[in-house]
Order: sequence, then C-alpha cells, then structure tokens
Amino acid sequence: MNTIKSLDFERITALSYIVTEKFGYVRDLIVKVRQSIIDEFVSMGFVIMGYTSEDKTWRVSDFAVDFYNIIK
Amino acid sequence: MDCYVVLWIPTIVYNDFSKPLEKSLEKNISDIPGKELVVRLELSEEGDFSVFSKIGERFELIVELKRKQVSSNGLMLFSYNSTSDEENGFRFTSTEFPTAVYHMIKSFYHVHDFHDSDTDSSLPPFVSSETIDIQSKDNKALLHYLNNYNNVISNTVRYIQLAIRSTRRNKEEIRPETRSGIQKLCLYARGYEVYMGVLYHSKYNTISNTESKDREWRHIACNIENGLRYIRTIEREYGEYTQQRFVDKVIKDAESSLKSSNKSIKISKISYFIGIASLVIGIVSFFAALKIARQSTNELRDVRDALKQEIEIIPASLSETESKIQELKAEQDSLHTIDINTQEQIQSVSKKVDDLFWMIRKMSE
Repeated sequence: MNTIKSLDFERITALSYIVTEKFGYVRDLIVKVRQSIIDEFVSMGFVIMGYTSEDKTWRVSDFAVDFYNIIK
Repeated sequence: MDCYVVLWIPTIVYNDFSKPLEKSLEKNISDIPGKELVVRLELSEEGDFSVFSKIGERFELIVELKRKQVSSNGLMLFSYNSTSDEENGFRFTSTEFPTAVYHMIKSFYHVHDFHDSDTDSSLPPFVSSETIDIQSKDNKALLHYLNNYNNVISNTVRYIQLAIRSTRRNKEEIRPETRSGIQKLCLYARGYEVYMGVLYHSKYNTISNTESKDREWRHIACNIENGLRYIRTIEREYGEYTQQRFVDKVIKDAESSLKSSNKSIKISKISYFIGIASLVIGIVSFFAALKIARQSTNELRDVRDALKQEIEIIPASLSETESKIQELKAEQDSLHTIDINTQEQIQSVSKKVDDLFWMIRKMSE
C-alpha cells in the first residue's frame, strides 16, 4: 500500500527526472514516470506536451523547475 | 470519418468570441531540437480554423476545424475529418486532438493573466465521434472540463501539501522561497477558479454541486469548493507572512538607513570640528611663521651689519698685515746677509786651519 511518504518520494523523484532531462519523447517518459503522475504534471502545467510529425514530445516548464527548487 | 472536439476557451465573463486577438498564428510545437514541427493556424471570418504544418519550405493543410457551436461560457464545438490512424505523432482523430493545437486556439481569444503562456496547463480537449449539444444541461463536454477542473484543484492542494511536508521533513523553517513557490501554486489555482467559475456556475451545470443527488458529482463539487477554501487560507497565511516579511524588511532597511544617517551626521559634525580646528591651527601657524620670519629677518639684518663692520675693518687689517709681512721680509733679508757673512768667516777660519795643518806637517817633516 502506498503511503503519503512514498507518494511524495515518487513525485519528487519524477520531478527531479523531468527537471534534469528537460525534454524528450513521451514514449521514453512513460517508462520512467507513472502515467498518473504524468497526468498530474500536465494538469499542473509542469510538463508541456508537443509533437514531431512522428511522435509525441514533452518539455519541462519554468514553473516545474521553480517548484522543484523549493522542495528538493 | 467525422470527429468532434469541444474546446474550452477560458473567459472571465460571458463572451461571444466575435473579437479574436489574432487572425493567424505560427508556432513550433516540437520539443526536440532538430525535429521541428511548425504549425500555422488561420482563423476565418466564420470562426473556422485551418491547420497547416510546414513540410520543407511550404505549409500543407492538415485539417479544417469547422466551428459548429459556441457557448458564451467558453465552450466551442468544432467538427473535422480524421487525419490519420497512426498510433503516435501529430494527428486528429475521434480519440485524439493535439493539446498543442488546442493551446494555440486558446491564444486566439485568451490572454494569460495568471501565469506565463508557457505554464498554461494543457487540459485534455473533449473529443468524440458523435456530435454534442454544448448548450444542453450537464453535457459531456461541460462535465469533462469540470472533472479536469477538479483535477487541477486537487493536484494544487496535493503539491502545496507536498511542499509543506518536504520542508518539515527536512526539519527546517519554511524558507521565503518555499512560501513564494506556494503562493505561485495558489495563484495558479485561483486563475482556474476565476475562469472555471464561468463553467461551474453555468446554467448548464446542474449536476456538479454540493447538493447534488449524484454521489460522484457531489464529491467533485465538494473537492473543488473545499480545495479552493484550503488554497485561499494557505494563500492568505503565506501572503500575510510574505507581506509581514516585506514590511519587516522595509522597517529594517529604514532603521539601518537611519543608523547610517546618524553615523553620517556624527561623522559630519566631527569633520566640521576638525575642519574648524584645522583652520585655527592654519591661521596660528601662519602668524607664527610670519613672526618667525620677522625675527629671522631682524637677526639676518644684525648679522649683515656685523659683517659690514667686519668688512670695513678688513682693509686696515690687510695694510697692517702687509707692513708686517714687509718687516718680516726685511728681517729675513738681514738674516740672510748675516748668514752670508757667517759663511765667509767660516770659510776664512777653515782656510786658516788648513794653513796651520800644512805648516804643522811641514815642520814635522
């Protein structure tokens, strides 16, 4: 069973990943970060979704970087 | 295949969307350097959008979005033909509508008052293979966006609590940066409160409220309203703290400025007295120097007079000296004469001695 503490750890780890990686393909992101956390990040404006002609892409927002810097 | 999308355009007041901000917009929606996907949107007089993508040097039409219905609460219904059945990539289907294009369409009507354009959350658009009446009560599109509104508020609460917990876990005082970050989260949610309020309080929403008989929607309404109460409370608490810190800082700065001013005044006073003292010392030194100079002049004058007297005496002394020298010379000459006579006498005596020796030798022979 997930505890608040373990969920916090998962979110902080995921934030650390997106802040470090900065951008990439969504197919690579979902390997590293759980889909429900990605959905949270999108709804919070932490991750912005984009496209190439062949694939979905993502990038981190300044809002996410600022937030990560206060909780890390 | 006919597809439908309902886009929510954030609006503060009921709006007929007859005055767009732009007529066309162009943007690279790829996040991968070197793999750009430049998309151009053109808005027609009827409110339809043509979506182009840049292939090589020219733009090719990807899809036409026909505006079917507009609701003054911000919902817009578009129809379009499915573009591709590929699993990934830039495509418009009955299950997928690129959020980046939704974001661009919003920019035709909406200014981001509460955050940067880049921080705009990309709520998933409502897509369907069937048309929908966006002005019907509790329509699916309206409920889709209210559900996402619930997600934004719940996530904001979640991340505010995460920030507070992580700070407490590190056993440190909540830093000003943390408070500022929490305030930003609050502002983000408050922006949603303003814009979503138009949907939430729309006459078409009869199901999502705290009195609802539908358990799920009653819970969603409760989450939204209580979540917003929590956010307002946190915002007030941290805002007041930040304001208090700001006021404290201003007072502290003012106090330190005052202290500096007092020190400066003291230093100025000391400098003033030192200046006056220096002036007095300068004046005294001047007169002292003047006095010394006068004394020196008098002394020099005396020395000069004494020298003059001595110079006047010198010629007399010189004549005396000369006469003494002449006397001495005469004495020397007389001594010389005596000396010559003495030598002559010695020579005659020597001759006489020699004669005597010669006579003695002769007599002995």
